Amino acid sequence: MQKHLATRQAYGEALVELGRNNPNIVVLDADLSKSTYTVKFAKEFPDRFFNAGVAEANMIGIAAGLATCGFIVFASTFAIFATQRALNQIFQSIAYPELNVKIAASHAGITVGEDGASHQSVDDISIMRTIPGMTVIVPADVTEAYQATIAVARYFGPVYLRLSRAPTPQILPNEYMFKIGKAYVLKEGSDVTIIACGTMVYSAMVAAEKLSSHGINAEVINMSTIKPIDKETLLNSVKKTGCVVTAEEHSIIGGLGSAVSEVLSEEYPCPVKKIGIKDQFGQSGKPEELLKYYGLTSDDIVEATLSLKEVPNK
Amino acid sequence: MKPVLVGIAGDSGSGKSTFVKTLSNLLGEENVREICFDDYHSLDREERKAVKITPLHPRANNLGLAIEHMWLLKQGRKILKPIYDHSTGRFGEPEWVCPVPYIICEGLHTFYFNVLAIQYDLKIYYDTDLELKIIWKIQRDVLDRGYFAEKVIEEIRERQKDIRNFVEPQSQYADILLKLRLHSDNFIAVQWNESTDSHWFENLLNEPGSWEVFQEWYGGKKWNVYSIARKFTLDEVKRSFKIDSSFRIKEKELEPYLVSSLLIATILKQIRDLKDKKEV
Amino acid sequence: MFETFELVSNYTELQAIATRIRKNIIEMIAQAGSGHPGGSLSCVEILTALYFKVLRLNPEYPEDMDRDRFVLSKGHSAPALYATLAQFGFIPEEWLKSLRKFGSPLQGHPDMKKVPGVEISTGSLGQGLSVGVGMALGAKIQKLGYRVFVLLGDGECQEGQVWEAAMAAAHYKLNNLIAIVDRNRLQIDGNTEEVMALEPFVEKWKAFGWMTLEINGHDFGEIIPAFQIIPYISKPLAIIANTVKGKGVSFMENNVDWHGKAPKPEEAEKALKEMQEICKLA
Repeated sequence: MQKHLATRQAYGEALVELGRNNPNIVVLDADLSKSTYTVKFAKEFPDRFFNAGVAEANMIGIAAGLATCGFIVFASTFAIFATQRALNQIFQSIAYPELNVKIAASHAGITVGEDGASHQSVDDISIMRTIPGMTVIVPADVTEAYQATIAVARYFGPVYLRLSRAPTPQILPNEYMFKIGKAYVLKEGSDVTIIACGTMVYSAMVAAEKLSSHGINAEVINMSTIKPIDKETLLNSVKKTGCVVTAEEHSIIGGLGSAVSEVLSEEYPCPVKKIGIKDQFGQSGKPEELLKYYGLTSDDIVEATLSLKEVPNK
Repeated sequence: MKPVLVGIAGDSGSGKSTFVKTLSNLLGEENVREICFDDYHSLDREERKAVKITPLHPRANNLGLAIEHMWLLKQGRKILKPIYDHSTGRFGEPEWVCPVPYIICEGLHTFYFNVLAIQYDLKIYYDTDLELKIIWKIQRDVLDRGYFAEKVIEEIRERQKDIRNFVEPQSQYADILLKLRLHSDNFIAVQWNESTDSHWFENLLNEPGSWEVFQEWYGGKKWNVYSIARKFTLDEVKRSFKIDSSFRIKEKELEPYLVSSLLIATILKQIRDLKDKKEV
Repeated sequence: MFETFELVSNYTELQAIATRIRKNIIEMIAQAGSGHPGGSLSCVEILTALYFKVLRLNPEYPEDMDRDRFVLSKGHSAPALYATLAQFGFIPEEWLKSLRKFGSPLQGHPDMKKVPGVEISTGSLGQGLSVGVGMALGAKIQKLGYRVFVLLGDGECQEGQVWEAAMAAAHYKLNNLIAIVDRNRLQIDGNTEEVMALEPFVEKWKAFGWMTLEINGHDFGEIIPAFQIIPYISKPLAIIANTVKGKGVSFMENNVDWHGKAPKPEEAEKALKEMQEICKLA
């Protein structure tokens, strides 16, 4: 795996690997296979790939039908279409009957870029989180995306896998082993817990470096499984640090920040600052521009931490 | 209404379809429904090639469905029948067939099984001389169905074994055998065979015994054989036979083929009248 | 031999089963105090024909890979399905008394986790045909010969997803997929043609590439032949069954009010008496 590939590319490669080893893997797409990278599986296993065309609701229904036949089904499209257009289908046909379908949605968040608001999903994590029995996974880089794809194929049950369009730098170490439901402490610290997911994990590490020059020793956790959330790792960290900053390329309503707050408010109340999209729609622009506009940079994490610790920002 | 069910069996290219059309014209097209048993093929052309089976084989035909359909039609019920498209070799949209006064079924296995045979009010086995068959088959299969001539002759040779095994045995169930022959005058004569215990032909004669008859063994049975070997004028035909008056005939000179069609049509009308009386 | 053949073609046995199913439907909805009698009664003959003549199913092997699949896309007709499954042997008849009760396996709309014989959970209209497409594709991938039957409501066909699935079925040449539409011409807010017109309905299915047949949905003499044509189809098959909503109960027939209203005990009694009288005459 090279640096600076997008998680969706790693997904595409992992699917091919799965397809070679398991004849029961079937992949569906909704006319976006070149963008979601399911096209790689489609080329090698054309008998096990089905394009539903621009019909996401139908695609989910077909996925359900195939799952009842014993297949392990991956259904891909953009995050906003999967979770908003086909929500009732996911809820009724997949989640309620507990069928073995993995919704691998690409182009999540605002780093989709120039396409603009209609294609940028700001609330997919929160929507999927509220579905009973749905596992929600947000890989941080290509290593984790590859491993996560393999892992969810081995797991029986509905899964939502969130992938990005923009390339992400490799942030997890080579020996990293992904486990569903297990958060990973990237950097140990004592002053603040920075919990991030997906594309924001890299920014969180950059922010942690910047904070050390302010004399703050931040602990950085990669919370790749949002549901079921790793309470143990979270609480162990917060008991050390006493305050939390969450960072996600997602709305501050309902995503990682809310999930963390839900746990802490019951088990260990402490101050939490949420870095995320502040209840807004997306817009056109370059990914870097948009990240800056919506306050999703490492500097924003630093600022949030400093205000939390009531340290003046020099 | 309970239809008069007629079964006509014989090799394809023996003139069955033309015969049925002639009967249909005589009885009135609106009163007649033709059913081609090719529609009961169970495999389409591609599948037959894959399995390497000829359509002459009963196993390439869904005769179970045919039996059920004949039973239903006999009771006056309608059926949903598949349609086999000869030009594509595949099945098209099915069609509803509702009972009408006369339903004429023609095909290779029309009364292959006894349980199928007992449904028909009249069973005719249609046979043709090999020479005639070849001429006609080339005509039809090349022009109508889009086949090639050489292919046709080769097919006929291969078919003869299968005809003897799968189609000819039916003739034992037939009421009437009609055999078409190329006569010396280069025209087509008709030999009319009847089982010795039925009297269709005799009953149609105005003067019983006025027609020459001899016996022949065929297919393990004894048959009364009547020969129609020359052309007749309409008057001659009306003088010799009790032809139904409702038939409209345009021709002044009738070939044996048309004469036998008239006789069959008359028999069918008699059966129809009998049925109508019974229902009342 | 002649006599027995006569009987089969008269479908008297199927009629008897259909009447029993109708009785069960009225009884269970009345006992539950809620449910959808109209649409359940209109599809009884179709379900009877399917389970007792057409579907290759064995209640002893509910997971058999080769079994035919039946999807009740119009999930609110669950009482009809439950009654049929009980008559067929998938579930015990005592279960029917517990329809819609708290803790019962017989939920208001079919739940595949709770009831053997239910192939997919339904209830949110418009989704069953997509699932059927998936099941039919599954058969093609695994080279199995099973057929997939999906029963839809006509009002349900106002949902766009139905047509997404129809398109996909024709595209993937799923000649092992059969959709039956319970065309009773009524929905909650009135006649389908007044709420959101579906006509020309048969033509719509044909335009989407389906072989389409129109039959009388209460006449076994038309239902059975329509299913017998399945070996001959090279495209997906749509059977538009013209039916009467509430069929079998005089005061429910063609009455919009009985879409989702349970009969009171007196009304149920009246309905059951009616059915008994009809049985005696037959």
